[in-house]
Amino acid sequence: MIRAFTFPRLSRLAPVLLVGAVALAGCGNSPELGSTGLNALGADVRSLLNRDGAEAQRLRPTEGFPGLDPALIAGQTVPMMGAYLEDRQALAGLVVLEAGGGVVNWRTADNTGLALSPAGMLVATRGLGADLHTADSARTAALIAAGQGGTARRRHVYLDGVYRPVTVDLTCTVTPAGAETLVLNNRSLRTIRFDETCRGDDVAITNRYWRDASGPLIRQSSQWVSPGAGTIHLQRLIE
Amino acid sequence: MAGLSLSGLSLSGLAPGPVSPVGRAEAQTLPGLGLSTYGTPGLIDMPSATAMPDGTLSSTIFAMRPSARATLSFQATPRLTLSFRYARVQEPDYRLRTGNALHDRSFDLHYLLLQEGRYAPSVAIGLRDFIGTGLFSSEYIVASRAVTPRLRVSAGLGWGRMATRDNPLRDTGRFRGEGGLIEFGRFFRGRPAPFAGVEYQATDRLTLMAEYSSDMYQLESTRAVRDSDPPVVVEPSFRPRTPLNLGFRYQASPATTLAGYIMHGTTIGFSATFALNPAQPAHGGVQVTAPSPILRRPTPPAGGEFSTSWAANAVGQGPRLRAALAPALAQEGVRLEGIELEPRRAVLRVTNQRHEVLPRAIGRTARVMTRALPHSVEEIVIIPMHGGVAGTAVTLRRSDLERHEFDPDGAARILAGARFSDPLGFPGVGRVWQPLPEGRNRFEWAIGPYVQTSFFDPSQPIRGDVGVQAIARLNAAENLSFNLTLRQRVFGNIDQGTLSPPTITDPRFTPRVRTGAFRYSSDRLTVERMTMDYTLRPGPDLYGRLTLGWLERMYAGASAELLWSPADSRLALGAEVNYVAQRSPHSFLGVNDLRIATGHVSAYYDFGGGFMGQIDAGRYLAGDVGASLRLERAFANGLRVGAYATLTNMPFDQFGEGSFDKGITLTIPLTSLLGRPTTAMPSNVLQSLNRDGGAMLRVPGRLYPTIQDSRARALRSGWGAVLQ
Repeated sequence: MIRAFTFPRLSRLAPVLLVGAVALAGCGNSPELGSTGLNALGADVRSLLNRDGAEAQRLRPTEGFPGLDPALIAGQTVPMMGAYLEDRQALAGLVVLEAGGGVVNWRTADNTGLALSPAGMLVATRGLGADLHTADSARTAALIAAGQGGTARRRHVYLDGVYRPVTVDLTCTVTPAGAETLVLNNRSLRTIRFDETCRGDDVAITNRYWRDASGPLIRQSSQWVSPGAGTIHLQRLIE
Repeated sequence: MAGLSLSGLSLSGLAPGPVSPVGRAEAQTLPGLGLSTYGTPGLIDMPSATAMPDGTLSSTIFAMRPSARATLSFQATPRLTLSFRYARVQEPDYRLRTGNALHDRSFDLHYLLLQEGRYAPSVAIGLRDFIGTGLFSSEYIVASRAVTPRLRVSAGLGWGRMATRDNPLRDTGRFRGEGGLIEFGRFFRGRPAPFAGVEYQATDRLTLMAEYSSDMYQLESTRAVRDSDPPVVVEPSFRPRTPLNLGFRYQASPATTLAGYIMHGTTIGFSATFALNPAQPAHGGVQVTAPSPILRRPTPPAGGEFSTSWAANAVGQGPRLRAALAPALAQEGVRLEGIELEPRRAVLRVTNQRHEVLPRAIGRTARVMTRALPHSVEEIVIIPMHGGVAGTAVTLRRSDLERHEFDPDGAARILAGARFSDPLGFPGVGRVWQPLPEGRNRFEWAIGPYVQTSFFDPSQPIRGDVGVQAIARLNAAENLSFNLTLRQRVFGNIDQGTLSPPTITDPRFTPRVRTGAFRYSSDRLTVERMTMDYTLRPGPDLYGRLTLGWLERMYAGASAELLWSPADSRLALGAEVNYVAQRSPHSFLGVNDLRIATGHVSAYYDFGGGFMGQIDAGRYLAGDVGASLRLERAFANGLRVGAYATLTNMPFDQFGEGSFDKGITLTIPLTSLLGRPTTAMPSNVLQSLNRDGGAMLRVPGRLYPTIQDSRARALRSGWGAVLQ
């Protein structure tokens, strides 16, 4: 039983576990039959092996608001968004999987999902681990769409470790912060920046939105996800 | 999905360490769990009136030359902390096992009587080492109070070992008989001694502690004369100089605390604590790939209903539907076993292959169905299969799913419209025969490693075997299979166990039904199990099982079980009868002359809040008659912590050391350690000792554990994961 409790974070154990990886791997034609804890650990060792150094290099941002490598975007015609998760220094491109019911489902290649409102407010994340289960930011969205400042209530729902919803209510102030010109995917775009500062019982967050000067679309934003995932930076690259 | 392969980059790098979903600290002034060297709420050796966050499971290892102890503590309710400890003590003359290290098990109970109020302190009462042979046996009452947000003081009174500072040791004769009993008469007896302590939070991670201890390690520090020929004087291993203990605690991560101590001015000690709080997931949350979005149907035509005319042309479309659905469900970790499509209802049977919580598998199945079913299908019935046994049928309304995917109360609203019912009666669910699903292999196999452990052997507390195991299954039907498990040990030492002296002399009882189990471990190829396994549904709410063959390492024979378990009931009742022969330790398939009839009637009860109770009454392997009581707390993520005790008509002196069978059961979901979904849930039983009294047969596939995750009450408890 001690064995089960003495695991520190697995990442630090990787070198030790590598030795046992082959022995742990197991094989067969039925996942249920072989499903001992040991096999599951073996799978984790394999996934650690796949994270090579080259990939880690590409994840390192340069400075400021990091963007996707232009080479990845060149020639694409479907709507695309770049996303950067600051705390994990992870960068990804997303495309639209589906839109409907007031929500647009964006996906990365490895099935991380972001649900955004059509204008670009973050509604939910999936696949980050510390996910935003769902968010209600209708009032903030309305203020930004109207180009106004004001106060707004925002509600975030998270799931705890036993899947109970944990609600975080935030009181926010939305402030128009003036016109800014962005360059996204070699296009120069006139935007108006809005800052949203929110306070809750134990949290204080700041979100930023760069809304198109002549329409409701949020071209770029920095939106807080969760304590575990931090803030996500989003850029609309192709519409 | 070609457009998705734009970048190999991923947002989901390895998440940072455990983070509370909202960063909200528990109602404690100082960081960390605040556990003592005994792994219980406290300072250094002395207790404090605090508790861990509800549900927390912690393990603390403490070492101080020449002693060491490992403690497992569980916050069973917000106020009740239960602990189990295994200690190694070196002292000169302990129960005449002179000079040798003594290994001892002990249990503690710590109860918070009063929470800290505006002016009042918190108050706790506790029993340390209240069962068993009583090495640490002591009782206390303690009050704690945060003077400032960074400073907490505690003071209390101790009895027993915690009153040895000023008193001469008054009660060395706390041991009687075979041990293992609670002796109420000795609690809070004799003159108590006061103790006190202070904790100061120096930084976010560092806490400094000082305490005035009332435990002077009298047993360990007494000079002894060995009563041998010639007499030998044994010098004590530890000589306390002062009652003052000093220490620090360092919060290395949210789950890990390291601590160092100067004990009684003479010795240094160290401890490490690892904690698992089921409410605070490792890595901030389970990292599970994003699910299929729910596809919303268009508004129905003028009549308000979608046309069902497709159904007339759908004859023979079943295989095509299956072929389209199976890969989509497989991506979500769900195996499709069968689908029955009706104009307004679809009934699916699925096996969860990935998710530690069943409602997530149900939600993901439903999501895929919204993308595939004709518009007129409003009811989606999902029947989770557990081997050949159909679990509770979950009926969801498709329009609820469409409306509430991103609703803050979405899961609750979908639950409000959901129905849980007995799967018997739904198309595709058989009573006595469940045909093997299309596409399932008739022959399944797996080769992998195994680890077997043996705890608390008197000569060596932990023994283990490691080897390779091959599992093969021939499926005649989904509910009838032939199973073989072969094991080949690679290395290990379980077979070097010690055969305890026989204690059973009464001819009513059969000796050696479990003692000597270590003899079944060897370097030979062994048949762990070779069985025919059959399950059936004799009637509504009734489940049946028949298992024949080599059932477990020690016994071969026949086992039959009947369970009554309504889908949405707190109560379930069962009965099991077995007739077995004892297998020969070193024979491949042979048995010896011992024949045993054993069986139980069982009652299972869900008290709510995850608290589960079970009573088994019947005839045990040694022929003794009695009952077992099990209490367990089950969490939605699969963590289960429980304890059991068995009392039978076997007298304590016939039972031997420990007096009666009792133990702790632990099931730890690997998800909570790895941070990604897996159905793997290693479980362990910590028995106080593997004795012959109160011993049960270990039949694979008992019915209640098989279906317990899909009881309606269990589904509701993890329902929040349905939209995860």
